[in-house]
Amino acid sequence: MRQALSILLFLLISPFFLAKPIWAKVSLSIYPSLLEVMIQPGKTYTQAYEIVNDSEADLYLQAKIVPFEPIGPEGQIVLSNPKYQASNNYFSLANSGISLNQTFKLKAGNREQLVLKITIPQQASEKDQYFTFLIEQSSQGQFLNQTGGENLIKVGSNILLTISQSGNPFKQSYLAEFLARPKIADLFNKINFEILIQNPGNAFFKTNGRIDIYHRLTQKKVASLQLRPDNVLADYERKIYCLEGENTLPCQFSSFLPGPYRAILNFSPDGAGEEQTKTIGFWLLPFRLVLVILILFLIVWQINKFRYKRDS
Amino acid sequence: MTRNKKTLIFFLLTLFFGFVRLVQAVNMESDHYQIQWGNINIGSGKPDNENYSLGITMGQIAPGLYSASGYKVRAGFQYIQTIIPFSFTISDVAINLGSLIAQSPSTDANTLTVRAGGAGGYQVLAYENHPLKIHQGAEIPDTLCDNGNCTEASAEVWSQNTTYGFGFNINGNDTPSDFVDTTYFRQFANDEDNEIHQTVMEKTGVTSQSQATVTYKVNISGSQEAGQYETGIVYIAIPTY
Repeated sequence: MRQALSILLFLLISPFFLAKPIWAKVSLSIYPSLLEVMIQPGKTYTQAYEIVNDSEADLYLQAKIVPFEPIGPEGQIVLSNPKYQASNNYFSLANSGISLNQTFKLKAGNREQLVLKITIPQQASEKDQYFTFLIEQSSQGQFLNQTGGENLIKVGSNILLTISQSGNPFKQSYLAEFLARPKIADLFNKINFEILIQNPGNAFFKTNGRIDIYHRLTQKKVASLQLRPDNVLADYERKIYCLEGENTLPCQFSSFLPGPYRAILNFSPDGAGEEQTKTIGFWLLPFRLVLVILILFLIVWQINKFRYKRDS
Repeated sequence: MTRNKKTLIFFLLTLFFGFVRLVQAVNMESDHYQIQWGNINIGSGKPDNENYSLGITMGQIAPGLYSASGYKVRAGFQYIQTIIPFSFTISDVAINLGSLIAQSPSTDANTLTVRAGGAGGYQVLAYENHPLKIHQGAEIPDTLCDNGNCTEASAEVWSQNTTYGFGFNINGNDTPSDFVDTTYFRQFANDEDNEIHQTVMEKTGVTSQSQATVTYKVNISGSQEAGQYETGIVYIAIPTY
């Protein structure tokens, strides 16, 4: 009895002395997720960001500005500076108790508004610069009762900055690729349009435009696909998708009307620059339908032939 | 002008000036920040409605024209009318590979979750601060997989118990295609050697929630030095531009 009580007592007390397993969900969010700023030299703009710590533990964080470069044609980036130092003095935080590259504590379940101030020197060059506003776990401060924990989580929001005195920087676009694949497709298959737009200019622009599809024999417009207004950064390129409402879709077309088609792509940088147009052709043919009919015909013919031989 | 009309005008003027307040330049401050300039030019991106944004834009929209403030701004994505924050979650940050036995691989896993309903796409980059190592001591090198060819950018099969090292597999939504199945592993990009951080999840398009499971694997030979090996795995989640 005494032994049983001792064991029971041990089991009740031991959780307070045994090492607690260290585990925690870590979650950070940031809003807005993208900031596009066109600004004159000598001017200042401020933007409020909301950071939320949805983790199960308090987090020690730092806010940083990191230059980025685009990589790949689909809007991905690589952070340029491996040591994550801001490359200029444009940015600061207006928060009274928090500065860039300074550790602050954000309690579990809490949110913090960071007010990012962008000040452009009067002598700044007129060009595009791209940055990520990065919120990362700091190696300072305690995390899960351990000091000096490794950085684990970082979230960012991209900043596209155009410095321009006039507000009308030189924007140039080039339609590098507009293809229909395949060029000849079966009636029941989809035609995929591949679009690649390049930006040899000095400032990023959005790809405002659409693809209009006409049936060559009837001369009627049978479809219109809206291009997603993606940003094409200066001296880079972007693969363009289509948009239906808020949904991103591949640019595709299908129809049950066979024959030759014409697709006309019209777009202009920001919907206001020089419009570019390109026309391509493709065919939709009833290959499978013809094949099925042919097979059925052959079967019927063979059956009739067999019957004729039998009767004769 | 009749006396009644004069009285009415006097009454209306009194009413007007009685309710007019002096307009002053504002010093905005709270316990968390203080803004000290006369022009209120903050773009907060905050909508009137909790669920929808009007595609907040500050300053004039027409090309070539600035407002007096000298800037034009858009916060958020033009074609997405919701205000969902960009969110990234790691289910469990304490990866415990336990006590290692030679030629007996040990694994542990956690889940990455991205919510990018307010963004036109995203990517998650990953890297290790350094290979698994005892503090300023021996290392467990990054795996090369069974055929000796896997890198931080390319996964290969790792299934043999005589292949040693540390690596990871990821499977789920929006993961790279070289992770053909759960036997394919990569190294983590080594930040100590300035290796390029690699994408482990990415998507073009809005996603309300994308999840992927990361499996960490380590295997050692009988000659591996005893000790407590550790490293930090860092994940960076960023929307596309």
